[in-house]
Amino acid sequence: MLTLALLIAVGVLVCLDRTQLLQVMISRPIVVGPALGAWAGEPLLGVALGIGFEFLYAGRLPVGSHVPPNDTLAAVGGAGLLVFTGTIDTMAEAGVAAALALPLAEVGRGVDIWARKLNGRLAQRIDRQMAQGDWSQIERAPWIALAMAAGAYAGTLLLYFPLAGWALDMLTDGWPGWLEGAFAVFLAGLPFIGLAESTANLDPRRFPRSAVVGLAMGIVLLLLVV
Amino acid sequence: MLGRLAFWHALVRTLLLQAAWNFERMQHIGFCYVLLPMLRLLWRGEALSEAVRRHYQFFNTHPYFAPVIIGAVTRLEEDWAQGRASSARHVNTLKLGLMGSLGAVGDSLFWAALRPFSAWMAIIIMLLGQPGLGIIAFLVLYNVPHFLVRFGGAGVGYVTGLDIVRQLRKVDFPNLAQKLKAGAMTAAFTALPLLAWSIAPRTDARVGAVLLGVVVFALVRKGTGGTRLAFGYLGATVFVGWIWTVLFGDPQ
Repeated sequence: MLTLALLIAVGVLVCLDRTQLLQVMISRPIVVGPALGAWAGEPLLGVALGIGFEFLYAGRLPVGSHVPPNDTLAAVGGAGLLVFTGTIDTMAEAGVAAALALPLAEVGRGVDIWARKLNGRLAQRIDRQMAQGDWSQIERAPWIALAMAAGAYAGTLLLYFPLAGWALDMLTDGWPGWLEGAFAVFLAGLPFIGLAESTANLDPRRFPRSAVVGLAMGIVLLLLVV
Repeated sequence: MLGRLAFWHALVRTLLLQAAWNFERMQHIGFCYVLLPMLRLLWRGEALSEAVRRHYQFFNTHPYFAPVIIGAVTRLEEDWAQGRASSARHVNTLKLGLMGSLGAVGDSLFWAALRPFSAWMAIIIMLLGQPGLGIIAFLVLYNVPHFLVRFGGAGVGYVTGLDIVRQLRKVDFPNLAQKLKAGAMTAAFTALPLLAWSIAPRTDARVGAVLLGVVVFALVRKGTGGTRLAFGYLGATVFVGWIWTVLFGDPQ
């Protein structure tokens, strides 16, 4: 119970960092994944989940009024499941955790849109008070908005973790070898989707030399390490 | 001169600039919230209410560049409060003029260039077996320029006031963004062989992941992306696994 409470507290903090508070990027999956993985004692699985989610939505930037899928919530859901269950120690099981967490990105987008609509209502309330010469609500409004968003994220995670933990047990209990292998390959390949998304977004045709130099550096680095 | 304490108070408040972001007027509550400590020092009574109403209008820019505008607007408000009437007509013009262009510059520089660059650099470090160091590297690489622009920009905005437009023109932000994107591309392709080598636990999974990665890459280039792509990929791995079992038997 304490683990769940701490997990939700961490999840809410990083989700708020996404837009509402700080924006120092502790919300990025590349931070959340390895950090929660380390907490669970599985840093490498955390890294795999973090890299997997980091660039999945690289092409959907928070520009103007566009609200992109919430990859922070998905990363918390995926890597947080390592902490919540305490039993995930293979790529295949972590692959299931990633698959279960994927829809959270869209759910989180819905939560973000809902929170912004509530902020609109908050603004209308301030309008009415300002018409009467009272603008004191402006001082409180950011904190009220912050509390509403925190509550929404906490509620989502509170529902998600027990449900996802149960689904993970159901799916992995006595599962066939081919399905286990499929989920291991799924997680192993997820970072490649990220790489494809990220480089497609950066447009490799504009930087062909950078891509070639990078690949050569990577191969040299790999040879040095191996 | 405004007190340094009030200025810092406002700067800290910029960390909440987007807390009450909404679809209608976007950052208007946050902008007003940030300016309030300084407006209180400059105006009293009805003039203060008037100043609050003046800034409780549509506002939206990149959150890291907002302090630049806030600094410049504060300077103009200060000049106005000290009797320089010419500043009055420039307050809203400056605000509206800068928010669009700085919004575009910030999106391109921070979201589309610095963030992938920092992330790929961190991923390389993580793939070399240092996840903790990777997290630290990401946060440092990203946040040093972030806070330089956020806090340094507010100071420059305040010191230069209306002249901020000329000061900003001196910095070639688009070129900087292009260089960072090229750096991100180099780092991403440096990570590619390391990814192929270290993420997959078994040889067959490694080969499968790379092959599926190539297919996925082709899909992305055709414009597919996000959740649908990931689930499509999951479906493909499960299907391939099942076909494998039918043809060659269960691996367990």
